[in-house]
Amino acid sequence: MQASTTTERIRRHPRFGELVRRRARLSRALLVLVLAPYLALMLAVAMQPQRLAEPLHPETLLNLGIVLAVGSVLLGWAATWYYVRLANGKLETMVQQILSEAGQ
Amino acid sequence: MNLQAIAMFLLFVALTLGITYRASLRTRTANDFFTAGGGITGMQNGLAVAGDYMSAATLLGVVSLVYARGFDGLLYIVGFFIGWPVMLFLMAERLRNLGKFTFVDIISDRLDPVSTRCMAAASSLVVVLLYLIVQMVGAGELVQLLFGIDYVYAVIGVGALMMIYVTVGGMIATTWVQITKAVLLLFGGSLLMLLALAHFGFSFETLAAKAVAVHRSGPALLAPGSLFADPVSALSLCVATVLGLSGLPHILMRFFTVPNACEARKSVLVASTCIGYMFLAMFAIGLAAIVIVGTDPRYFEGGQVGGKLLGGGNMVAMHLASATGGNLFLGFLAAVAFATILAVVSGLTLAGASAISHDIYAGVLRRGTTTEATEVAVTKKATLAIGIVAVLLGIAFKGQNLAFLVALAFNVAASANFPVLVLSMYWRGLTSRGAVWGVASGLVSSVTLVFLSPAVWKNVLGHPSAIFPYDHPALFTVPLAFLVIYLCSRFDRSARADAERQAFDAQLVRAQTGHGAAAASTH
Repeated sequence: MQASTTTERIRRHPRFGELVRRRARLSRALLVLVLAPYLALMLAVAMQPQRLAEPLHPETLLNLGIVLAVGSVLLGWAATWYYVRLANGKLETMVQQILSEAGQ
Repeated sequence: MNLQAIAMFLLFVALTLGITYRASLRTRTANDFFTAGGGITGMQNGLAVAGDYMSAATLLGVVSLVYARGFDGLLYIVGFFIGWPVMLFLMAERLRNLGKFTFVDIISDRLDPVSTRCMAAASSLVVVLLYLIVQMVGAGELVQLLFGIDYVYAVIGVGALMMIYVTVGGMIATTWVQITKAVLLLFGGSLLMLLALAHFGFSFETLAAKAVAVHRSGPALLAPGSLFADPVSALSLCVATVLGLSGLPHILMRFFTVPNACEARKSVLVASTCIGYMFLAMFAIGLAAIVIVGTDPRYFEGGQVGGKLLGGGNMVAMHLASATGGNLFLGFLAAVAFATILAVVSGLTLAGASAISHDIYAGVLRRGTTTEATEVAVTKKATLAIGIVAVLLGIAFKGQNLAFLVALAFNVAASANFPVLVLSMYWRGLTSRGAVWGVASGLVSSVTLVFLSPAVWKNVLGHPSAIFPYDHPALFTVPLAFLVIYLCSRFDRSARADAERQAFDAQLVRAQTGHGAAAASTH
């Protein structure tokens, strides 16, 4: 199915493959970065709850569980910010370059 | 009767009706009606998405959960947040580049439009209806409690207002109602947090120490409790909340309202900033409520501290507002909560109505031969129909404990919608047969297992013990759906399947670059 020749030119553009690979790598890395600590936290809650409940030091009520839970939210937010920065910056420049070169 | 609450609520209704009228003047084409002409900025859409996600049930429910269970409430919050980055990395930009009016457009893009649309639209209607019931019942109870209006009239009122927003103003009105509500919610939530934390000198240590001292769990309040103690059920809940988000039709639909992929990504950043902030604020609010509300006899039935809370367990945030900011602030927060329900109900109804008109009527019954004007007319009729059904269901489910319906909505979204949507974007090998059987297996298995779960089989139907031991089946049903899609697609050797696989290349170009994506109309 050759919907349009521009589509075909984009697909054959030397940097299109690179774009696809870079985006996939970025998504995959950030997915692992966000999901691994979250799943680890949930497993720790089920298997080792007492370790999460211990206060960080004697003068505080703050414990590892709260730090990790709030940390997961902050990490998720930071990863979101980083992805948007890269995808709307470098990767989008690449997209525009491919589109303009293939459009001619 | 709370006069301040009624006054503020009437002000909100007047404001949103004004918005709806202005929106109706700008709604000319089907594109305007379904997606606001793609003319919503990332910032605006981000607020609207956050508004769609933070329903009154979320707001009141999460605060109450922290109030009752402390740390477990925080874990719940994390699960409902983590879905956002996952959706961004997997699909936000592809949604915008591939979609037109509904997420089903993406699935049926290179597949057989009739069978896949039919199946996916059915499962999206199931999710929308489940969610609507919860919102309608919540609305009725809240209004009855806060404004003293009878439950039935309250539900009818919500239904009528929502029908006006959606039929008259379409997506433009729905979006602006949602934005208005999100801003009010962020403001009200922040103020509640600040007023509450002022009682503790803005110190976490003071807050935590006092909460631990007065809560019946004592120091265990800040430790993992019973909610996530079983690893299988905890993981299953994680799968349902994290992946379910990427299968909620009313959330996915919002991504077609922005002009391009950059704005789609920006909207996730804005939305997750608002949602993350509000969720963490709710943790602080819940802890503060343990001390402020939990020790004050005024908020308990018969003045019995530790007994039943006035108005039920979900009213913790409302009582805290009254304790920290008096009747005026309680009125404001009540109006915000009601506004929240109205806005979420409108978004849900629009998503459901477009599944009926765009997917089932235009795509399946008329095989794509209808005009866009007819499609909009059908949507308006579908909106009225969904509105009436929602009101009737709201009345029928009065007084029921509906926690399982939220669970069911997320489990169906994760099991039926998510696998086929993500594979249609990423897997060349997906065929129509795989998609149809995948949605069907996810839908049937998740609904059946929730029906046999403790929440329904034991608590609702009153059997002595449940047949399926877990409340959330997603850990089993999501892999099942993926497996069914894989096998059915793999062994599909028809010529149609070959053409579908080959069409993936062109789709990938559009997904990655936005070349050929549905364009935004200019206003």
